[in-house]
This record gives sequence, C-alpha cells and structure tokens, in this order.
Amino acid sequence: MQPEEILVLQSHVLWASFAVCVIFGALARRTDFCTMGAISDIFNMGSWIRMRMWGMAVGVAMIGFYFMVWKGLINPSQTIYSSGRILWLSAIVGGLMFGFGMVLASGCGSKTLVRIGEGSLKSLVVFFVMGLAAFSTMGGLAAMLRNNTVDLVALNIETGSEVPMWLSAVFGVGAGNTGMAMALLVGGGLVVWSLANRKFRSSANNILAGAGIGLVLVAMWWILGHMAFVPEHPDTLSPAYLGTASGKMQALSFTSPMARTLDWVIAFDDAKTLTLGVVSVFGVVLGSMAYSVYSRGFQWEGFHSTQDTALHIIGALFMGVGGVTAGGCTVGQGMSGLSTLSVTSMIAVVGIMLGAVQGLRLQRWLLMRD
Amino acid sequence: MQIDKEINARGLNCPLPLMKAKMVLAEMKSGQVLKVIATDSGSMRDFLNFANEAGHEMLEQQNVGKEYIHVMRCR
Repeated sequence: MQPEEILVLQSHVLWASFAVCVIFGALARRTDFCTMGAISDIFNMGSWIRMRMWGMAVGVAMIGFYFMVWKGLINPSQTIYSSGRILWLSAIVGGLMFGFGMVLASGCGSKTLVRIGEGSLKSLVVFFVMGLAAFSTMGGLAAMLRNNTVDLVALNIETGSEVPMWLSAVFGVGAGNTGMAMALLVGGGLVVWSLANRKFRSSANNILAGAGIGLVLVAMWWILGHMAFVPEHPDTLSPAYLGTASGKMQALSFTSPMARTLDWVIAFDDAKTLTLGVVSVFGVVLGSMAYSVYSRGFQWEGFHSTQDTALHIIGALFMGVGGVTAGGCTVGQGMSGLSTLSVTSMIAVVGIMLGAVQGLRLQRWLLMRD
Repeated sequence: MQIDKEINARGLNCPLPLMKAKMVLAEMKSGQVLKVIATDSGSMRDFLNFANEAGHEMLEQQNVGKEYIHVMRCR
C-alpha cells in the first residue's frame, strides 16, 4: 500500500469512528445509559434495570467481537487489552480509584462527555482536570509513581490475558471456535439475563440502550480491527492498525483520549496526529449535544457550591489517575475490554464497582453530616 | 395538595437528589407527602424508578423550565 493510500484509509477510519461516536453520544443521552447510575440504582434502591442495560451491551459486544474473530476478520491477540503480562494490581488499584472518582464527579469519562453535550460546565471542568491527571499518569509525574509501584506487580501468562486463549491452549481447540463458544455462553448469558426481567423488557428504551451501545462497540471493533488493518505499513514495513495512538487494535475508551485531546489542542503546531481518541471525544460530545438540542434538553449548568466544585475536581483527579493505571475506564476496560474476555478487564471492573460503592458511601455520609 | 416536607435539590447531580429524598422519607410517616425540586434531568427517571421499587406513590412529576418537580406519598 502506497503512503497516499494510507492517508486516505486513515482518514476514512477516523471519519467512520467519529460517526459511530456521534451515535454513541446520542444513544447514551437518549437512554440515560450510565455505569455510575447503574451501580447507584442498585445501591440506593435495589434496582438492577440499568445494570441489565450494561450487561446486555457487554453481551452484544462480546458476541460481535468473537463472531468477527471466528470469521477471521480480526485478530484477538492484537487488541490493546491482550498482553502476556497481567497487571492485576494496577487493574484493581486503578479500578478502585476510577470507580470512587466517577461517583464524586457525577459520572465516568463517557458520561462526562455526554454531560458536556447537555450543557454542563461542571463536566467541562471535570474533563480538563481528568485529562491533565491522565496525561500525568501516562508519561508525567504520576506515571513515575505508577511505574515504580503497582505496575511492578504482574502475572506473566504466555497465552495472553483472554480466557478463550487459555482454554484454547489447554484443550488444543482453535482460538476462534473457543472464543465463539465462550462468547455465546457468557455474552449470550448476559443478554438472556437482561431480557429475562419483565420490567427491563417492558421499556424499549432499555433494549435500545443495551443493544445499541453493544452494536456501537461491535462497529468500533470492525472499523479499528478490520478496516484499519494494514499488513505492511510503508514506513515501518510492519503490520499496523491505522488511527490509533497505540498502533494496536482497540474499540472505545475515554480516559487517555481526554489527555490526547488536550495534547492535540495544545500542541497542534507540533504536527500532532489526529487519532481515534481525539475524534471519539468530539464525536460523543456532538452526538449528545445534537440529541439534547433536538429534545429541548440542553441547558447550562454550573457548580452550586464550593463543596460541589471540590468534589468534582477530586473525582476528576481520581478518574484520570485511576483510569490510566487500570488500563481503561468503564467503557475501555469495562465494555471494550470485557468484550474480549480479558481477565485484566474483569479485575478492573470489579475494582471500579467496589470503588463506586465507597464513593456512594462517602456521599451518603456527607449528606447525613449536612 | 398538602406538602408535608420539601427538599431543595437544585444544582445536585445524580444520585444526590435521590439519596437526599431517601433519607427524608425514612423519617416521614406513612401517608405524608414529599416534594423534591431538582435541576438534574435524570431525576425524572430516577424518582419514578425509586417510587416503584420502594413502594412510595408518585403523585406528580413535572418539568417547569429548568426544574424537575417530584411529589410522592410516603408508603
């Protein structure tokens, strides 16, 4: 492939990703899809409806991902989540921090972008603080701390971090077949669990959220795993996935993209390349804003007290540091990572949920104190 | 309609309006009426679900300008 063709393909990949992210933003806004909200609903009222939305989305994404693996369209060992070095301590510590932070900051990374689209200036501040904290954890001061503490603890597994790869190696069955069977079992199980509830089924909104967000992730896997794949990049003569900062296959994530967006905006003169992260941030905000304006739900919102400001800033710091340390947020590790059946993602998700419960406990304590 | 207690949850984001209402409801007597004024659009869904799950009676929900008003009878 010639360099000019690479540029054209990269442009197509980024435009396609942008379009899918606009749909994600509009869908999340339309359906109130929110991971923090799902955990909060269980904590505050014992309602699992929004968690079922989340479960259905993961299930659909998982089946879609392994269907493409089974058909030979994408290579599961080339995802950003696939590694022979499982940073389990980073995943749990980062997950705890991220989950705690997202409660204080009124939502995770994706929700922050959706809220910006609704007119929330609070979330705009969260975005800047979270992006800076993520930037520092990727290669700055906080990165030194991360590299010299939690990242030193790892479990090395030759076959990688995806459970189907382990089973494939143990039983000597093809990775595609094992993955498809596991996705049908686990992903299908999640979809059935969601749909088994009458209250969940009674609202088209819930099904739209679960199926819609799941299909958005499948589309992203196809764009960045199949469409963006170049067997031999003319610059490096190696295989490459165009449009991603990591050079590996990925779907959606929002912590490091916030840092990359700030970097792109600030250092544009240094010929910073436009990547998936940047277009996904703008896409989700635009999608949410378009739906908010269409549904007459757009309204400006600011901080209402010093405590409100402080809690959002602290939450954003925790999310930025925690999201990068864990290797992703509720959408990154939580949905994209889980769809690959990565064990690191499973650990990070447990951390995020436990952290969120602690955040909710803190909020309850603050309310009681007031 | 007689309102027994009113909560000002303006400026609070999910899930704070609901948490605040839940605390107040825990101290109210059965049959008493609570009014919550919030500015978080997500509170419409949250309060309806909460009333259904917890067995409180949702008497009224309305959007007036930038405010979302919820009136419910304690179970």
